[in-house]
Amino acid sequence: MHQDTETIALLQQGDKTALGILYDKYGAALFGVILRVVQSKELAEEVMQEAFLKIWRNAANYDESKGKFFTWALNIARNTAIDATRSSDFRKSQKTVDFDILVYCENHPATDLPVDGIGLREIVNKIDEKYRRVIDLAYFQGYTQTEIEQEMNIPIGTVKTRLRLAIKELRKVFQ
Amino acid sequence: MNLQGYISTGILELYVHGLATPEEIQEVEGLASEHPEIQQEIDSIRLTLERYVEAHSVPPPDGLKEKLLERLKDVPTGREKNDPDQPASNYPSRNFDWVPKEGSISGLATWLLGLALVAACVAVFLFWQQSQRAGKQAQAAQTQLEQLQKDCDSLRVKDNQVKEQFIAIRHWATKPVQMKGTALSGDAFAVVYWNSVRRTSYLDVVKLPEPAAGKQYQLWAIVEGKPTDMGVFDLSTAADGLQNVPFIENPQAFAVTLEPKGGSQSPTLDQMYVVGAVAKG
Repeated sequence: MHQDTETIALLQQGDKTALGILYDKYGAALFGVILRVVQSKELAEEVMQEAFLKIWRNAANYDESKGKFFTWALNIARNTAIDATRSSDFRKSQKTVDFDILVYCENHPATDLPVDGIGLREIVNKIDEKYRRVIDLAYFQGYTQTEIEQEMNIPIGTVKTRLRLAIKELRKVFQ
Repeated sequence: MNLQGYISTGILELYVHGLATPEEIQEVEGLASEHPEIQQEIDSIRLTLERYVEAHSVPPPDGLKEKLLERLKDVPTGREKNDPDQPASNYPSRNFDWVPKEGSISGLATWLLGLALVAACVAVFLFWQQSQRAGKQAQAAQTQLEQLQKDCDSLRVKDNQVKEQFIAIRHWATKPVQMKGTALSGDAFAVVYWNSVRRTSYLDVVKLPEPAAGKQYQLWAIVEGKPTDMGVFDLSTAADGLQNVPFIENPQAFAVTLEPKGGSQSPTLDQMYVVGAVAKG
């Protein structure tokens, strides 16, 4: 993804069209993250709007010299989603929607990511489940070290090793 | 500093995933500002992770964008910095130890399960202890019951004997033959209950002196002037009451003599302690 310098300059001047452009460009990736965190389509839609409202309100704080816009937006989306999982409403809904969300994700594959005609997600998902799981818990679910140790029943040393191997494997895929 | 070694520890992955502790974050960011190599590695990890995120893209539902843009009407863009909603850093680390996520829920569940297990063990132990105690009590009760049954049986036997003797004494055909003390022992006294109809004889030793060592009392019947042996007896058994003795036809008298242990063929007459004649008719 190329730099979004001009679009962001417009955004920082309060141009709604600029936000629309960024939504079109990064919306699917951000919605995918949010969906993975909150595991509910209805809540994900709510969080998605909340995240873009934050991006809109805080646009002036974004500093391109510190990192890409996507990285910044991704952090806002992820944090907003993780915050949403703290509410008690979330606890109630989470039990019932797990299956729905799987079906929903299956019906909306990331077709716009061409890797020689094969879905990138399929390749990525071929990476050993135990490596991907550490990434999912840490990055998408916002788990702490302690929580991952408990959830997966592995010491922090192993968490480190697995994350490193997971990133290594992913690098191979994306090269 | 061995940068490659530092990179290979996996600390940078922890950092990018938001798993590093505040101290680690400070350390990583310090090193990254000093060593471009480390900053490059961080960027590479972050890029990889972002690619991974993109691989899991899901198009947002139709109409959501329009809804969002509609809401923007009322919200001013944040031209001013330091909005409270804004994360302090572009790449904040998250450490929500207090957030009740599945991890801590399952921690609680594990704890409760452990507690339940301990409670179950205690309950099992208490039941076991109780059953042990009950078992011992039952065994003691069983022993006691057996002892009581034995006692009861022997009492019944004795009771039957006494009843039988009582019946024998009260029988119309029973003749009590009193044997009085001789010169050897003036106050010695014994009785033979003789019944010719039921053909039974009982000896009742009321009083006889303790025999010398190696000696035993022997009962005799005098039939047609001749002594007939009716067996030896001990004072200890005699003290229990009447004793069954052999039935002898047509006795004229009964007598008890003191003989060497085991008895004699014929009575030692100068050792006769009691004697009594059978009344005629």
